[in-house]
Amino acid sequence: MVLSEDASEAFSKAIREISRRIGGEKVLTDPEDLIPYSIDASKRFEGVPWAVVRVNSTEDVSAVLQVADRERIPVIPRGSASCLTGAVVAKRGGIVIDLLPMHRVEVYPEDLVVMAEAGATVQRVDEECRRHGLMFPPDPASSKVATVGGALAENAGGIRGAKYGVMKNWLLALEVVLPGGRVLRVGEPTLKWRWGPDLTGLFVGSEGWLGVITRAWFKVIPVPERVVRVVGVFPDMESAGRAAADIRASGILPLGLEIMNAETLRAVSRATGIDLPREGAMLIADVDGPREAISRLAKAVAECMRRAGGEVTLSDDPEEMERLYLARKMAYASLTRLYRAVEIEDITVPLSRFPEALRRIDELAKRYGLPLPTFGHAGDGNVHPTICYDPDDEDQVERARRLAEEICDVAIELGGAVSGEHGIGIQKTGALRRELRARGAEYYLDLLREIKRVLDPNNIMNPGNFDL
Amino acid sequence: MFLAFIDAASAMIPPEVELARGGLARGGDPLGLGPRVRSAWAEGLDLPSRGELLFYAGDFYPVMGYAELLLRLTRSPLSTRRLASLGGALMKLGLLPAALRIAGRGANSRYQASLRKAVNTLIRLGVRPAILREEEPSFGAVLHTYGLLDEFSEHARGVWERLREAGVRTIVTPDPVAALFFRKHYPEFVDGWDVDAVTWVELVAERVASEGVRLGPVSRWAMRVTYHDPCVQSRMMGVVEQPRFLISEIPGVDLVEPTRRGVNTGCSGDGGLELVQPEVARRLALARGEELKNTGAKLALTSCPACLLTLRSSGVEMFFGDLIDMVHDALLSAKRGEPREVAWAGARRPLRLTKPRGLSVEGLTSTLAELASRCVRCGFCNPTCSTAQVLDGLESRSARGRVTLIRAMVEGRDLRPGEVLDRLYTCVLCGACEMACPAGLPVPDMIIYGRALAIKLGLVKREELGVDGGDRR
Repeated sequence: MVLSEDASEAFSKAIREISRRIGGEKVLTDPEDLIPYSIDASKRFEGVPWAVVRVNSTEDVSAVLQVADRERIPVIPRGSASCLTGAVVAKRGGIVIDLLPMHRVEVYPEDLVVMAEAGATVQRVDEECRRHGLMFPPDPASSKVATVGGALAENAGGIRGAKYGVMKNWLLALEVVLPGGRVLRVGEPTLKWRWGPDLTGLFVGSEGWLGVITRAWFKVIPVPERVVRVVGVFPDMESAGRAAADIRASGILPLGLEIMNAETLRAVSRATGIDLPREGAMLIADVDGPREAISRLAKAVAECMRRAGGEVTLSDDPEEMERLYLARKMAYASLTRLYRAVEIEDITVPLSRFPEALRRIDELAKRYGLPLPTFGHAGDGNVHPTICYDPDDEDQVERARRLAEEICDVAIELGGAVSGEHGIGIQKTGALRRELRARGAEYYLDLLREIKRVLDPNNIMNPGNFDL
Repeated sequence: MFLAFIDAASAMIPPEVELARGGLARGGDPLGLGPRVRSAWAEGLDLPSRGELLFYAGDFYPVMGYAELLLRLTRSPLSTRRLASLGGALMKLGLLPAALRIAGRGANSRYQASLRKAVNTLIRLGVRPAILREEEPSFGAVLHTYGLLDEFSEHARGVWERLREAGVRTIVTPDPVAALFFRKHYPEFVDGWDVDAVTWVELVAERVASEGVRLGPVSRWAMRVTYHDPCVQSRMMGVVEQPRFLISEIPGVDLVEPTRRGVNTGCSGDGGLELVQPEVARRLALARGEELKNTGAKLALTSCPACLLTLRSSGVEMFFGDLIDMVHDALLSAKRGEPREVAWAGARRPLRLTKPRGLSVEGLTSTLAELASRCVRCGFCNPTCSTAQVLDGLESRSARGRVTLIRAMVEGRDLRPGEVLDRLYTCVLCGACEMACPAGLPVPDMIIYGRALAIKLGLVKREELGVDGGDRR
């Protein structure tokens, strides 16, 4: 978006004021600095901000939001921009707040609590916890880059989600800066607190649309005593899906339950050199627990896999486990290496419908004639069919678009959601509307608009997200 | 036409780079010290001047003491830029080299001594290489690194001719940067290039193992040491085990590893950065120096003259030494034992070559457009990026940010080439991003081609705007 001359003058004035208040060295306005901030990992959406402000403190954020709100300048909070939906792209220009310089992490081992500033990476939070024998359970595949602020704003999940859920399950308290510069504190860093309705949830998954998350307190847990990895190779995805459902039904809660189809396995093999089966499907179950119980639990999981037709191997060798973990973590990356355009879908369905969802995705792949490597988190019913196509072939682009819609429709029909953990951003706005319509929940969007009006009356926070 | 370009290029590149380029043109080395100074280390050595195996000292070792002096001056109250312009003027008058020659002799003697020790070590191990003395050509690191690729390409062809005249088939060099150039960049830029190159560390470790040499104890080295892997040696050429083998062979030396080691080593702030953006380079050197010191070792060894320069100038209170010196001394009291089988003997990691489709604006543009289109934008490179680490993740000076900038440049977006060049010059070419890249992009090569393209586009723009209308930095 290009500014008119008047607006441009007003903007320059605002930027000068921000520079004066927080320090000019934190403010970037050269196009050569702004263009690198125009992208995220969607590879589709771009938008060049008018300025980038690299904040060092909550006070810095507050100053920016005060000026921006007064002058009606859009503000986009940004961490590592590893999101896949265009959520942190400056769709309508404005100021990008770069939170990476805010990366303090403090562990309180006796309280089982960790405090992290928004710009710290999820992996770093986990590493700091591990120095004290603790772990930070959420584990998005991008944990090496994904920041705490971004992971909260996207309510990210990840590989350990089967047992440990998503970011919101670990959140205790939040500090958020609202438009106008007010600093809002929600909750206490204690395992329980009652301030009435829990408003932390308002900001979880908000994709920078209501305010800027500056820091958060999470509960953490002791590192599990033992982890065993059970790997099953199946003739097809549906039987792997059945095994996953069976494991869940047997009362065992693996910490991770990851599924990959043959197309994904082949891609990972080709891109990383890791030796994997080339046909069928693979299910990786990580079982954690006390030393005494672990082998019984692992055997029960193995039995479920065998019953569904799987060939099973068990391992607790750290190197072997790391190898397989890497294979799963590299799935999306491997695809991007082999195909010129990939669009990763992110649907969830009730666990009982998971095998059916996999079968229908398989049918769609055949019908559309596009490569559709599929992998995901069988433990929580979240699967990532990834559409691969040639962006220069109009026919393929159109087929990819329709395929994406149909995948979302599978989720809607089976009683699930169009996005489990990647978020809405720009990519999923249409699909979200269809989902809400199917549930008779259109009022949800109206209510969101009302809330937005209260917290952000001038609509400066990440406008264009959710397309509202 | 070509010569006109070379002269025009000086309008785009920073004065510091111009200084090094001028030195190379006049004296044959980046500081313009001349062949006599450069070959002084080899005085008194009785070695042939032709032969299949050449000991190559490289651009840095023979003059690194003078560079140390220059680096100290740039950290003086005089700003680098003013100093560089002053230096440029002095260089033109031939005065800078003269001044350096006088003032830097003391600091330089230890680098020269290391070169002699490197050669003597080889001789003791039964290897008798040729040396080219005053005839040894620069390998042109300055030209390639700063994106002056036409000049580099022509220079490299000249080097090849000189090596062929001397009958060289294999180069052994203590300078890992030179080894990387001869193994990767020369094959990229010189058609038919057929000279092999090996680092001194590789060859010596192989000989010690295969000849069954038992290195002896040396009281002055009996202490706790750590080892700093130079990025070009470990990450890019895969030489990780060899230096550790040599250190562990010496009785009484206790090796402790820093957090970032082997292929995951951390940059100490060279890669050309110390010349163009000394403040960022200084932060890198300080961070790496502290990390090495935190191992509890008294001495940090390394195998790269540029790393030694930056670490020794980092201000970190620790001894920084050359692995050559230690191995040389340990060989003096060595004994004969049984030959040992080592897994890494003779193993040379094949290097991936990136050949641009020509060095014209069109050639570079199409090469970069194809490579940049493969960037996934995931940002997995950024946490590993040396400069982003010391700049709080500043995107425009991080790996992904530079690739984004290159893509914008080849798409013809309205950018100032001089400003693009400035962002690209912040890269230390350490290659950490390349290793983290899921798409397998050769990011350091892209940076070099991006620099070359930015220089050329800047010149085109200047011509359109009239000579002084551009954005000289």
